Amino acid sequence: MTGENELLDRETRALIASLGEPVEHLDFDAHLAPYADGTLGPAEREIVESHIEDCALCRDELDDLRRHARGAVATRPQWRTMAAAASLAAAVIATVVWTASHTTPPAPVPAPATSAPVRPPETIAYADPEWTRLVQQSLDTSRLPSPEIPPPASGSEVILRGVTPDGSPNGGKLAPSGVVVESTRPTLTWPATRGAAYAVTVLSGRQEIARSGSLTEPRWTVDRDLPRGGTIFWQVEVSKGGTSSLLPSLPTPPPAFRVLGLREHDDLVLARNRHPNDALLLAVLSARYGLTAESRSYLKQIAPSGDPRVRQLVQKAQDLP
Amino acid sequence: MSQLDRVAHHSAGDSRLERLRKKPESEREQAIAELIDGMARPQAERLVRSAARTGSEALTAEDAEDVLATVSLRLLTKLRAVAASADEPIERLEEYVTTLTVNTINDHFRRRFPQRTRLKNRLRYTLTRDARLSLWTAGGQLVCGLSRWRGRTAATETPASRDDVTERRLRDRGRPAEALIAYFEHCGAPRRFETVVDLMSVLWHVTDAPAPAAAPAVELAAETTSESRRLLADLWREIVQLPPMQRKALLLNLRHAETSHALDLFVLTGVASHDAIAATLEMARATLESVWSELPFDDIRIAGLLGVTRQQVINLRKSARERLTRRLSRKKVM
Repeated sequence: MTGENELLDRETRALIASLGEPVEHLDFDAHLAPYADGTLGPAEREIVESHIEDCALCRDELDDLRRHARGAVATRPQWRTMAAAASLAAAVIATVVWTASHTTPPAPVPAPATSAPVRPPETIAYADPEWTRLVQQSLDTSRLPSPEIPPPASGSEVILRGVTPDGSPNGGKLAPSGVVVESTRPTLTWPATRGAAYAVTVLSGRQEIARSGSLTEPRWTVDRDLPRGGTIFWQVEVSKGGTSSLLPSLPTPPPAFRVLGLREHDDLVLARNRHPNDALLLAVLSARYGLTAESRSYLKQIAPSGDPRVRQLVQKAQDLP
Repeated sequence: MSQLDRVAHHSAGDSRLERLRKKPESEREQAIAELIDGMARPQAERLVRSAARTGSEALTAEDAEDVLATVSLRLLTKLRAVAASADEPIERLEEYVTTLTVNTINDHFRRRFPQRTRLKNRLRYTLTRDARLSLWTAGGQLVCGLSRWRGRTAATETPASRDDVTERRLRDRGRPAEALIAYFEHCGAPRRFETVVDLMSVLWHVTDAPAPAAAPAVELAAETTSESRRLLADLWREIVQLPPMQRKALLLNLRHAETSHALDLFVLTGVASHDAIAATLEMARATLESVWSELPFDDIRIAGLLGVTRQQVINLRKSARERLTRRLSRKKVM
């Protein structure tokens, strides 16, 4: 081995040795409890979410504690956290503001038989103070919340030009792209080419994490769980007549989407379990977590409301492209 | 900040570690082994012997050996990192070993008794979040009770038999705060936290299945002299997958004894281009080039870039290293 290679070798080994850190589990006071409270800052939250990707022990403990925390908020008469105090203050302020701007109370919101009911704003108070805050804010601003983490910036959709579509249902688009998906096994679709075979590769960063076999239809449901919170890239190899090409072809960047993170997914599942008919809450949370299509779908389920703020919110959301 | 961070991240370092850092690389492994065998392991053994508990949690001889092996391995990893970088001081080695051993024992119990651990977490959460209840340290023990008793030592007398009403309230696991209040009102005094956990585990039927086989200790890969580029490529792939703040906290500070900053190593070996490094740091290529000669950044500068505190930068980097250690160990890189 040359001297230069020896130096390289030594430096490489020393660098890797210097990165070694004793692996510890999450600390109750520093990580688990404040995460369950929802009071952890973004840096610490990143640390926790990164750790639980690999550590089943901490993940299970955290899931259990979060369920306990939500149940405890619902049943406890006295609550020490700032979150609960803020929620109470917000409810009081909402009542004062509403009272100042209206001369008569609104009529009770009817509960249509087939549509999801919406509670009058001054009575909105969920067990989770963050839910209360988000819904109140949406009604106050007539705007759904922006995604907490923006979808990947690969464009809202990758539309191909110059490819011969074959009556494909997605109109020449590769999907999903530029969105957040809830499922860890999404279905990927692309424009069809008559008589072609396809093979899909799915990547996380530069690493291949899934690959289809040979396909004859322009769609594939990923057959393994994609990592939650990660940005996923994918591409399709199209083979026909002995030649093959990539979709999309260079220089078009590959489509990218993000799989909904674990924390966000848990939150949505909890909301659906506890409030299956509360389309407003589900629309707000879906928007918050980047599930734009699902959010719009929930908004459509909201029945015509006597509350002008709800009407305005629904109207404004429907006006958006 | 975790307890281990508080012990590790003080200003000056332990003088033995200063001497270790100054040793030539060829002598460091021997010096590390002497520190572990001569000081750390005997101290850890004393702690493990005194940590054997009666009741629900007890360390068997096999458990004790497992804990000691894990402590030695973790300390070896940490001392190697300390020796390689002046940025990771340990102020008091004995205190670090104590905290590391206690954490390892607790981690062991978390794996062996996961249901009991979850019960403890839930009780701790309730005791520290409900204004009517409290958890404190008194007489060297963790004690709990009604808030107005805070600071008192735990009572040891066996309380009188419970009436039906108290018994019903105690058994209602859906209302843990009310159950605890009922218990403390019945006792009339604070109790040791472990005693309360034991009682609730019986009343609420919290049991753990027989312990699964212990996870094998992380193995350190044998070093090879012919796979440097592959090792660096594996490392780079894992670094790219780190969450953004951890990635930046690690890379912007990554230093090496023989070069000014370790990013040079990735470029020189062709593992990562300047463009790839810039993209990973979410920085324009021109910006990266303009600061290249100023790397590695200190933590205060990184804190300013990320909009966090210096301590958070240290925590982010520690978390990044832990994740790299876990993932690269599986690939037998570390």
